[in-house]
Amino acid sequence: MSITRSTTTTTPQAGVKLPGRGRFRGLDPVLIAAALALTGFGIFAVYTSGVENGPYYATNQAAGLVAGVALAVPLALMDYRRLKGFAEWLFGAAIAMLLAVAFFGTTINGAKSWIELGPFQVQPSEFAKLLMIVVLAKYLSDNPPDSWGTFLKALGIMMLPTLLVFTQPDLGTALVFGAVFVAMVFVGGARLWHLGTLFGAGIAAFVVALKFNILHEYQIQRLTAFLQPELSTDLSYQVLQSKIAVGSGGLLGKGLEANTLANLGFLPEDHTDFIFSNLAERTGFVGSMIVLALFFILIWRILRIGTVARDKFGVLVAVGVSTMFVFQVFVNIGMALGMMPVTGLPLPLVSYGRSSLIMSVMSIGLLLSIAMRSKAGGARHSDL
Amino acid sequence: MSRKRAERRRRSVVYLAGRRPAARRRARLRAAPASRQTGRRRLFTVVAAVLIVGLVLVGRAFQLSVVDGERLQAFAASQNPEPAAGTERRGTIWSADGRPLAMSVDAVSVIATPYQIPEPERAARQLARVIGPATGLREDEILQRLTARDDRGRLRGYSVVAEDLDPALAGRVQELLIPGITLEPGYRRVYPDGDLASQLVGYLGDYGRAYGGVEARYDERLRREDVRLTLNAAVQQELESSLERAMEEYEARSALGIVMRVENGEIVALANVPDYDNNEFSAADPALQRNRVLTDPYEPGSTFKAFVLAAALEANVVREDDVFLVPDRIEVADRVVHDSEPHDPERMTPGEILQRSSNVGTIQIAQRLGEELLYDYITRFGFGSPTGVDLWGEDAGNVPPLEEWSGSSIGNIPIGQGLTVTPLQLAAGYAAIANGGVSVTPHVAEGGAAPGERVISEETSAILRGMLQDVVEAGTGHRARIPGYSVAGKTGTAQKVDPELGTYGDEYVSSFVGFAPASDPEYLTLIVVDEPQRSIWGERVAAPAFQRVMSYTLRYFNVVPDREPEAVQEVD
Repeated sequence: MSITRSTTTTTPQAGVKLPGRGRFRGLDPVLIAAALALTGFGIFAVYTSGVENGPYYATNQAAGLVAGVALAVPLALMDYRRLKGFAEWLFGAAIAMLLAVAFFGTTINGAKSWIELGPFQVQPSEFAKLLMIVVLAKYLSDNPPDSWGTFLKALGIMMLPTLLVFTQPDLGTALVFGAVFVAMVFVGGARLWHLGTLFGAGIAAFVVALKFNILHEYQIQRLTAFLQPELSTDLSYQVLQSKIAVGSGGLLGKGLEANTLANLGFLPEDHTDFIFSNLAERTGFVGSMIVLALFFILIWRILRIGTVARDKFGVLVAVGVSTMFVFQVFVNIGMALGMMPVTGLPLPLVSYGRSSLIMSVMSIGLLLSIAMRSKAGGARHSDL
Repeated sequence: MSRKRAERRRRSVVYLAGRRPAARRRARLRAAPASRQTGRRRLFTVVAAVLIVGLVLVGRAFQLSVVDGERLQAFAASQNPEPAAGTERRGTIWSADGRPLAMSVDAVSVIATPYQIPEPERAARQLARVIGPATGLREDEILQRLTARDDRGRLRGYSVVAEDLDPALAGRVQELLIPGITLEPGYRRVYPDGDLASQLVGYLGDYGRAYGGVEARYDERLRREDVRLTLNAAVQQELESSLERAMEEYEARSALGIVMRVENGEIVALANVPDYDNNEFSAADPALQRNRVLTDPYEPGSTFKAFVLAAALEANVVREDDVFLVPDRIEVADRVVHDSEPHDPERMTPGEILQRSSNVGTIQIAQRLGEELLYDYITRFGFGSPTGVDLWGEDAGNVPPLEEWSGSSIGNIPIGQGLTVTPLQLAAGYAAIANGGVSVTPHVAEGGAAPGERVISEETSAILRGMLQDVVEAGTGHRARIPGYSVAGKTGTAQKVDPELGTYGDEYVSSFVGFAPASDPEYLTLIVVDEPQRSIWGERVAAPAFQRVMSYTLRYFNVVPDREPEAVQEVD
């Protein structure tokens, strides 16, 4: 069904035409507003962070937003279904980028995750996330993973980039790939016992890795540091400082002028991984709630696009993108609140990092394309 | 449930039946609406999961920020939320004659972000050329700092390469344009004359913490503005060198001294030797960092006798021309007190008792005064309570309360035993005598003068000034005479209590306190030499230092001489 549709039309269905909105009928202003508000919060937090040149970083981040919008607009105007025709190319591009990192990459903070492109450092794994969501959505929409054959083939498609990212080593992003895969095959119609078997195999692999010391000591430490914040390792120090920063913000925060743990240097990485703690310290529980509410709105609108999408490909892209966001939000904020391991995942749209920002804005552009070509009327009745 | 099973059955049938691709595609087309339904239901499962995740995060944030907020706020505050040290310029401490005693100068730190430095070896070589000579850092030491790693072996994000650099030199570091090398501006506290009045000036340490002296006492004011002292650097230097000379000459353990303006208690000089250099504060012996002038009380000995005489004259139990028959020993309760040299019983006036520093005569006067009046005047002269000087850490000394006096107290307290005073209290007491009977509050910062109280009458003060002048001119204090000026003063030689035995031991404290011109006193000087070895007598050990410091001070401040220089030479 989806195959036939994709070949028949590239123009949006007219449906109930609202005056003055034309082809932008499905454009979702709430989604755009939430995304922009989060990005604004991020630029503000980068500006006030303890990093030496906050304003400079904030300007960079704003430039990233502009670049992201510039790439997202054509993506939104284009019919997303055209992407299906390029799926193999997109897959190839993702793999090529990740291989390029493996061979020519730059190492920062111990992970070989960046490529120098002139004055910029690009993090291909960020873009690979979006590419792989499109690739997997295309594959699953054509081949429902309801048999071992398609399920394993889908797993294989996802496993290749995941392993490349894992060996950078970037455990956090590898886990994002895993979470996106599980959610997409789940919504795509995988048998529950296939998924159960996959989980079982995963746990078995982890136990074996522990038994035979395949994981490095520091990797295990990293995964368990949040459970023992009183141990004086670097990581539990970060978690402890983060919790103190969040907690000491109290209900209303310390204000915009105050000296915080972040800008006094107690809280490390307060413009990247621990940006939420920085925000929470300045703006308190109220500020945290605003950020969480914005994320909630963002994800709600993305999933809503999933429910009204014209075809399965669109549904799966929406599920993939929202899973990516949810997973990163949960892991990043969970880490800041001392309930998840320190994995170094950015908070989407908020953390400093232009690759992540541009990719996030592009995924929202893609979702808008899906929204603008959604079924007429369906949106009204299945609103979440 | 049943629908799902039916769907699965239908699909398996299709798979079993359909081997041909066309059939499979048909099967899928038929199955599609059902799997769409599954997809939709599962989409709602995803939504539910998102909701749960959101609630968990909200709950946790609530727990940290609101439930534990206060506790964590307190903890955060304990992590030194003050701005880092040296980020703000601190006021200068000026001497009265315009010399900076402590000042903040621009100083820049060179900071590395090791993981951002592309070629650490090259950077280290460049840096060593620029900052090596000034800092003494070798290239390999710099390289070590540029490649600092954390405990997991990752390059750090912050590493201090060099601190407290001259701004011009730091500018040259910036010109190297090394990525990952940044400058951090700040200030450094310097003490241009590091060992001048070091205990009085105090020290500003790391994190902007002030240790002792004016730095600590005027910490808050110095954060806003300069502080000008009454201390005169020239007189201070003279006092320090005279004390050092006395200490060396008599192989003493230590010495201290004060020069004070009689009129208002301004401290013109205050010294403890040996001293230390504030620029090397942490390397100095903590014992030398104490301002012993106000922290270490001692038994004043004979210098205390003037207060007994002042009390007796003021209370009208003794008159200037009374005559005492003074033997060389006196029994007081269970104790016998001797004069320092044996002599036949002699007739002495109160002035002569002071001149010859007779213990027996002083006790006779005190007995006439009685314990209560004696105690009353001792406290009125300020002994037993802090002088109120504008410095932290002042000791009150120890004056036994009247109810603790034993029968023999009247035999030792009048001669400066069985009670302790700080050198500052003693100087302040003499200042009251010199100042027409009105007390003064010693102070080191300008504008710190507080109005005094009358302790003794103008008349008594004048009589006593004359008696103390006689001490210098005809008595034990002749080494304190200064050509051109009338000098009043008193010697003191006190036996020290052996801290182990609790009885008087072999060590002495020799002192001299005096003021000039005696007719209209302007400056007062106290010299205390601790444990002199080659002589114990105040007139020999302390009076020459007094004479040097006092004559320098009088000439420095252009005090008009009140007598002909020849007059002194005749007496000599």
